[in-house]
Amino acid sequence: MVNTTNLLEVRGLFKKYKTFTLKDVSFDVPKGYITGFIGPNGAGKTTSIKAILGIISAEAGTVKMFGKEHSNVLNTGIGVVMDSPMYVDDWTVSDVEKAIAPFYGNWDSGKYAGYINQFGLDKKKKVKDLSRGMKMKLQIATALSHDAQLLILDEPTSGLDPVARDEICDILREFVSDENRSAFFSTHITSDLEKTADYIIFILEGKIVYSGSKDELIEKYARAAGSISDISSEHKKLIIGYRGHSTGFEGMVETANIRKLPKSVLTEDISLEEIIIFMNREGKESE
Amino acid sequence: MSKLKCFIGLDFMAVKSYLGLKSVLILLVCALFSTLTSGTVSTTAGIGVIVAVISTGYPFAVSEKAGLDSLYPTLSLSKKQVVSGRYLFIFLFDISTVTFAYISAALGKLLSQIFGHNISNYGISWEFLAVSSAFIIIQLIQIPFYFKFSYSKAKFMTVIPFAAIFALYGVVGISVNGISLEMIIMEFLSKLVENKLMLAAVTLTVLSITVFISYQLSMAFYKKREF
Repeated sequence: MVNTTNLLEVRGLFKKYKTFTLKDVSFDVPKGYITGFIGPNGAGKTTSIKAILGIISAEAGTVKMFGKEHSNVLNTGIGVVMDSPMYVDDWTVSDVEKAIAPFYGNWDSGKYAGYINQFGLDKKKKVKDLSRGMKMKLQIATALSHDAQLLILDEPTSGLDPVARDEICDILREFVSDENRSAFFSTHITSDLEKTADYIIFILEGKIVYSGSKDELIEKYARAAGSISDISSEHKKLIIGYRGHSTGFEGMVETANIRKLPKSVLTEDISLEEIIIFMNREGKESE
Repeated sequence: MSKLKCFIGLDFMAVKSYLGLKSVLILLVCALFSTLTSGTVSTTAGIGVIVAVISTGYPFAVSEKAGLDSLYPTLSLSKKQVVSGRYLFIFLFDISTVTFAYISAALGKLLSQIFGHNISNYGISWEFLAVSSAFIIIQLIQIPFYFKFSYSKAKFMTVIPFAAIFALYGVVGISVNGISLEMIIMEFLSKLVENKLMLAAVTLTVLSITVFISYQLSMAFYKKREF
């Protein structure tokens, strides 16, 4: 049965490179929400996105978009915003429309002009003369002008100043205010996701380590710190990303395991950024 | 078909910067000069073909620099449509360049009449067709290189067909016991030229086979490419 509550369903994506493997990547992007795709640099975020879009071919796995097996034809229903725009440097903002619009039957020139105006872009300005933030906005304007149902963004806020990042986050929030739309947003800047994302998919070394609601992820773990002498080797096994130093230790613990730790160990709320750091550290130590 | 039309439009937009007024004026001046100095229109049209062949790499160069190969799938274009669209674009570019050269030659003919010269032949000569066919075959050999290696790696390899032709020319010129391959080929060609229908049939057959092989190779190479 087709699950129409998910705009994107990825199952068992596998892709092997000489130095990196995407292993059994599976997740859903539900309708009406912003889903954040997090992980450190080189974790497999861009590779996963490229495999989903058909830019690279996965060796195994399936992608369902809008309830149907993915084929390139379905890409007309999505808006893509990549790390750097895939436009010719010498194109003006108007040229981008001339080049891209013919591919979309439902392209709305009025909408494009509206977004260009809203984002403060100059129609005559060349792509190469736009700032990074403006380039991102140009891609978003293009993605929104053909009534895309699903926005897929790869590191759209990376390298942007806080004001520009906040503007992009606002655009995404406005986009999903229509409950039939979704945004799937990869980043390693977790503060943007803390503000905007409803769901989180966490990828580490090519493998999905968490897929679920953002709040559940943050509630699932707690930051733990204390004196090294307070914990035994059994306790240490419960600490994820354990790091000892001269004044004590720090790490992350599953909230379900807090009771198993001595009361002298301090536990407190954890941020998404810390979760990434501790999980990454744990992954490297277990290698 | 509409996707191919859109792709050709996208390719045109991509190479637009190469086709500025400066490039058009340079071609026009070259065409006028060659018409006035050679006194034939075929030479001018030949220049058009050479310009078109030299320009084959433009869409590949721009695609590589701008990352357009990653853009195509997001525009719902299959790899087959990209390859077919690129061949059609190159074909249309060739036709446009030769047409432009002919129009320039007409202008040259007009100018020559003003200066009292005479342009001997305004029609399509067999020599022009032979030279054009040779250059188009070179172009067809070059295209799969671009699909396999992308522009920056392939641009040096695309000199190979030119070098091969020069090498071949050297080889066929070697004579053994007073008979050379060149003589045999020239004899065959002169017989072929006498029979225009046969010449057209042979040229078309060779071109068709080259187009087929070139397209199949490009498809096979591009399908394996990842961006």
